[in-house]
Amino acid sequence: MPAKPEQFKTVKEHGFKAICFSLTLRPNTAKVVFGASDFKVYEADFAATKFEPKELYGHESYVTGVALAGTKIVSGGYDCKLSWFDSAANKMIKSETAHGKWIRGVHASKDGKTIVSVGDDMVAKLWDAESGKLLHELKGHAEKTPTNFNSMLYAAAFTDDGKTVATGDKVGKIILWDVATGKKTGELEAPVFYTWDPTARLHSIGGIRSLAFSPDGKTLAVGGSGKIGNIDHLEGKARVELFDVATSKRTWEHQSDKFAGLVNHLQFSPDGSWLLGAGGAAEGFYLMLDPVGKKSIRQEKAGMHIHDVTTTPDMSTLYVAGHNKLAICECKG
Amino acid sequence: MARSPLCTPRDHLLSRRQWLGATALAGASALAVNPLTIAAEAKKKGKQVLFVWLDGGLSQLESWDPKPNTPFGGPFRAIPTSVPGIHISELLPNSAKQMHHLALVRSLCTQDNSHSAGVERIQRGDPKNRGVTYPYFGSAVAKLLGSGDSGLPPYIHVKPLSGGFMPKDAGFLGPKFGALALGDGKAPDNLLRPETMTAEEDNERNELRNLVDQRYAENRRTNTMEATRYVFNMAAQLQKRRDLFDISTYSPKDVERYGKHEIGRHMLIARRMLEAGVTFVKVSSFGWDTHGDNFNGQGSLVPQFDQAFAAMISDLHERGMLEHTLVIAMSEFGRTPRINGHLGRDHWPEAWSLAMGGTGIKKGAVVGKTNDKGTFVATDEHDIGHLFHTWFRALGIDPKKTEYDNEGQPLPIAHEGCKPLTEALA
Repeated sequence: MPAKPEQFKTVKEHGFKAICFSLTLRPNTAKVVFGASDFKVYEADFAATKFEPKELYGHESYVTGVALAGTKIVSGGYDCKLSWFDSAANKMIKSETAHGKWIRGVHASKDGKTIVSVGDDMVAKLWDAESGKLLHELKGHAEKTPTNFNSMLYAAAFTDDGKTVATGDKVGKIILWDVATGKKTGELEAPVFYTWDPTARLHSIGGIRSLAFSPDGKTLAVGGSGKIGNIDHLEGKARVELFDVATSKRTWEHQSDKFAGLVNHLQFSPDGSWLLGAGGAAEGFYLMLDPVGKKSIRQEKAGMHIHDVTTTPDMSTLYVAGHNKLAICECKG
Repeated sequence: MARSPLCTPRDHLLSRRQWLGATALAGASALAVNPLTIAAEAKKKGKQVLFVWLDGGLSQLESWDPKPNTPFGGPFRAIPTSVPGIHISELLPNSAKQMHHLALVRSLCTQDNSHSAGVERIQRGDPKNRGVTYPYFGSAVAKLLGSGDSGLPPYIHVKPLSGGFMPKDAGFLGPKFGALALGDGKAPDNLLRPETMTAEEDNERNELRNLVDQRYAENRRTNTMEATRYVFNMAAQLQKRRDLFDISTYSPKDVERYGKHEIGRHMLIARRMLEAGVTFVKVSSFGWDTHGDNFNGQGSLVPQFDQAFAAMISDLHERGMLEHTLVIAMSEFGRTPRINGHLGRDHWPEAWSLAMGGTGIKKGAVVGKTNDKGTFVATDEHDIGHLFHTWFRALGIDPKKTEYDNEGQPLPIAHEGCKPLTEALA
């Protein structure tokens, strides 16, 4: 049964001792693997009578990306390491320094064969999910912002067919890459996501925090925050832009009239009829958008700043990682 | 959280005329320090101060007092320093190599958690309320140590954005002891004689001014005219030292070492000012109030500070200037151990840190400590009054014996209820 965003509701929130940055769902279960600010990777079963996350293994800093490749968990964090953990054997396969600076995200292609990691060394790396072999280093994002601060590479997303991966950085640049060759195939500009304060703080905030391709790969959704007045706070409106991939033209820009903060997760429904956005500032939010009609379907407050969401294939059930909480939500009729 | 109102460019535009006006208006209450107790010895030795102000609040957990792998520690790791046993944040690798020249205070517990109150209170040293506005530390030092032989203003502030004369720093001392702010490190507006005016014409103009000054002074208080003359003399001295502002003369190697970013450029200008003999040089950096996205914010700011600060410490040491220069790096407060929903840290005056070094400071000292989570001070707490005592002592000024003379009202230069941190003094 297709998910109904109009019927969205939060089923249950569970408090957690640390900030949960990323999670992924084990297929055909209610079990998620998630990474947290206590440097650990956990598994939690939302279907269990008692919600008790189980520690699997650790990193040496915040764990900011987790992905599944069969029975392998691939995780990355601010320790710059990628870890490959065999959860069936409960054994670490390898853990290696994969980036020169913080790893911001780890994502698997839909077929589970390829992993992309992005880091503040401004390099995206493609890995063979099975062997852990490095396939390509994708270099093209500037290391410095225009005002000479270190830039950051926050976001990445595959097309459903796994042939293209997009990466997005702090200053609003998006690069499209051919997965097979590692060559750049396009660039998009979304500068509104980056705020530089030239008059008071002389510092910046923002950046592209999430990316998602439509199922046909023709549209790219970009998430973050709109322009921020006082950059001490995440007070910019939650913002989503849509781009036509073929022309690199922006086709829609949407800012929430209700919520401020960063859109940290974007995901198209399987039929492309709606788009989920989630994120937060002091508090969190869910945005349900109609990318075809270019309108908001629904906006809902979340119980925490949301850092990541994973869903069942039909998106009828959402598992959510956030600030000291994990949650389960539904979009069922 | 409310922020102090930011100065507008108009507030800080400086011309010789405005500088004169500001000084004369306040009557230049040139208040003499008790001549018997003034730190004459310090003055002889040409003591100087570099005061690095990280406006908004450096996070102690992302700098001098890391608590890695604790609930509030954040993602950054601690690294060893050149002093065995002292660890600081991995964001400060260059400063770590200079730690044997520095001392840390990890027991700061101040009282104001708002910028508007905290900035003033910290920089004025929080004396007991006597119905007067106390001077900022820079103005106090300018008053107590004077200009030395440099002929340059005793208190120069290298800051982002606009420059100008900042008389309010001086409090009751009068605007003569305010800060001359170099906006983005540049020379004050209208400093140089216009190209359309010859030197002869300029001299004639000054002669006319002197004549008018003398007539004006006949029925006015002497100190007003002293202030007037002081200001014009300073402007004249600055005109002679236009080389200080010529950035083309900086070594490219130094520019690289300090960093081409703002705080790097400003710190390099500050070094030149110290080399030229300016008594008190303040360098300000903005943007440290990271309520949201703290780790990205501090993670991009601290490395820039680290590069410039460490280069400065190294250079002052190599030049032998640390022997007579007190260096302080601080903010108005620290940041909350608790990480808020914005992934930020808020204001935290309860337990924070600063770094200092140079003349009179014990090398490699660490004063105080916080508890395991970094939430509170686990040893004796120290307020800003303790630091003012410490800094004055480091400069050879005895706060117990030195007083301001506010037109007959004796005023202590530091809070009488506080005392120096002897463990931080050489």
